Order: sequence, then structure tokens, then C-alpha cells
Amino acid sequence: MKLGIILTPDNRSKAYIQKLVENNIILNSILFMNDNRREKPYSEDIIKISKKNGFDITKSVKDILKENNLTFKEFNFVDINHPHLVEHIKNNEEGFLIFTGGGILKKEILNSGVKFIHFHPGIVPNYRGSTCFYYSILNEGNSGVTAYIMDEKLDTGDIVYQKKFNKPDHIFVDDVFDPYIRSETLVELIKKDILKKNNYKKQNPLDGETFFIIHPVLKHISILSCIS
Amino acid sequence: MTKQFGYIYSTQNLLEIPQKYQMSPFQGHKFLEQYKESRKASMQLIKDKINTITLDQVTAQMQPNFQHPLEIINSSKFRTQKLFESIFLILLRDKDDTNITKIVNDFIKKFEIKKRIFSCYNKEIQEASNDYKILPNYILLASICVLKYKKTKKLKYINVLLKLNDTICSQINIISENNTRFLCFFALKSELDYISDLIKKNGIN
Repeated sequence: MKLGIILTPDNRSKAYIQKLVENNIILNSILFMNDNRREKPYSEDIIKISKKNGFDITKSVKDILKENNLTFKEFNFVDINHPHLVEHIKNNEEGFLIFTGGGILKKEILNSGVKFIHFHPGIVPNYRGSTCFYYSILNEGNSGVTAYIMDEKLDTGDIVYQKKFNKPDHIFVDDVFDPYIRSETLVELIKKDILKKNNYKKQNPLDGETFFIIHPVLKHISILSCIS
Repeated sequence: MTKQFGYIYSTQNLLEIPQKYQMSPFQGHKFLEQYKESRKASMQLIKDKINTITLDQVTAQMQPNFQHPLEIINSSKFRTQKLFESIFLILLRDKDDTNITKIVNDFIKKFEIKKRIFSCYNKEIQEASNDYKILPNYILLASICVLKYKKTKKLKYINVLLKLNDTICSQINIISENNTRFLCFFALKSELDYISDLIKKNGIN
């Protein structure tokens, strides 16, 4: 069974690739969509917390790939539905590709011959949509990740694996906690050979709840509840 | 526009330039204080303009136009205000069901995505007008969300209530009718009470 990953220049991909390297996990292919965006500067606090959570937020995805002599195919755009990416996947990839970014996959890429796995930061079907970890922290005091096979809808694909996490004890939820819980779930899924078991759970798209971007007031309550 | 106290999410005309709320920065406890101050200022502004009226009087004026929401949305084109008033009356009587909830959720989704409510829709709940500047529609949907949150405590209702109220506060000076002012105060006051409860429930001092 072949397994590859599509990386994007963001904190999630930084966490995914560093955790894979740290755990000596070798993938069949690495595709890197890179628009050469400028890296954000980070405070000492967030750098410390990211390292405590198993990745260095200051290291760019490209630097991590190069430092570890990983072979990768680079694209000069960040668009999962880009025709050049679709063409490359059709001609060169098979099995599963982990897609770290966001957005809905169009028919062309869904029919490119591979299955796409996404790590969504919410336990579906109760937490579909955007910024689910904030809602879950407010409702349940914890959060979770669902790995699922992507289909044409939002967070409705067959469930591969789910893992729950305690709420963080820090305030860097977007930049550290989100990448941390997704990357930890990825490593666990690979280590437990979950994909080979081929035991996926169907979802009913009508079940559950879909959330939209959390309002800053609720976001503040959610974050402050983590450190209270 | 209301005088703001550092709360930036209702400072510009949100009907014209909708707020996206993406990757909003964390600003600590002071942000929640700024939010409360901003909302209190808006509430005071609207309260000063309300002539004495009760919720019963407001709903009594809606009653003559009442038609069941399912009948309204089955017409080829309907006025959003009429639909929202009927839903509000049904929710007040605690007579809602899954059909009403579905209609409410469809409009919440529309607002969350476009941040606009149009004056008319068709039976497929697609826009049937270009006019999105009728503030009473936003105030009615906010009032509906107040009642849905009160009953279900589902966060999606308070999330959209906060966004609707940001839009309303950004245009609070143009609210002219007494009934609408009353409902606006009702939506803002209820939101502030619910948020205060959430803050307390989550152990935030």
C-alpha cells in the first residue's frame, strides 16, 4: 500500500513532516505546494510551546525537507484543484495521499486515481466545518481529530480513525494545538497500520453539526478556558 | 456609528464591508472587557431612543401578518421579514419543530457564508432580490437566534448571533422604528447575558 503526502507552506505541514521524520516514517512520495510566502515571526513563548509539542514552528517546510534529505516534488502554487497537480497525481501517484491543507476537492482531483486522507480537527459528525476545536473545547472541555477519506462534500467522507485530546494548557491554539493534534493523529494512524485494515466507517451527511468560523468572543472564551 | 472601546468587529459598515473573522488574534481578558463595553454602549444608545413598549405589544403588531413559515416558503417569492416574524412568533410560543429548525439553519448558513440577508427569497431559498440593506431582517434573525440558543444552548446560534449583532451595531444609528429598536435591544441584551454566563461557566474571571 503506497502512502504519500501533499504539503503546504504552513504550520500544519511543519508539524506533520517533523513528526514523520522524528518517528522514522518514510512515505512513498512528498508533494509540496509552495507559493513562497514569507514566514511569520514568532515569539519566544510560542517557539517554546511548539517544541514542547514536538515541532519547531520557526523551521520552514522546505528547510525541514532539505535538512532531512527528503525527496520531494515542488509546485509553485497552493491549490489542491490546480490542473498541474491533478495531472501529476494521475500520472505518478497511487494508493493514498494525505492532504494537509483545507478546502473542497473537485471532481477532477477526486477522480485522479488516489484516495485523499484529511485530518480534520473535530470528531465528526458532531464537529464538522471550521474551527471545530474551539467549539469542542467550549462544549466538552476537549477536542479531537478525525482522519477521513475525502469526498466532494465537507467533512462527510468515510471515517478512517478518530482520536481525542485534552484541551491545551497554553494559548496558541491555531498555531500549535491544531497542528499538534493533527500530526499526532497522523503518526498514530501510520504506526497502528490503520489504513491496511481497510475498516472505514460510513457517515450519514445529514447527521451531526457543521460549524462556521468562530466569533472572536467565543474564541477568547475557549482559549481563556484552557488556561483558567 | 457607536463609539468603540477597542472592540474592532463592529466599527465599519458591515453591510457594505462584511467581516470575515478569519484567524482573529488572541488579545487576552481585555478583549472580552472591550467587547462588553462596546455592546453596552450600543445598548445604551438604542435604549435612549425606545419609547415605552413591551414584547407583547411588539408581537401583537406582528400577529396580523402571521402565516405558517412552511406556507410562506412554498410561495414562488416571499418577503424575508414576513418569514422571520412568523418564525419568531412560533419560537416565542415554543411551537417550533424540525421543519422550522431547518429553515432557521438554512438562513444561518446563508448569513455565515455571505454575511448578508436579502429582502426576498424564492421557494428554493435562493435570493430573489438585490437588497440586503434592510436592517430589521438582521435584527429579526438575531432575535430568532436568541430564542434558539435559549432553548438548545447550541453554540452555532450564539456564534451567528454575535456576528449578526456586530452587523447591527455597525449600523445602529439608522434604526428608526420603535419595535425594531426594542428587538435590537432584546438581541443585544440577551447576547451579553449569554456570553456572561459562558464566561462564568468556563471559570474565567
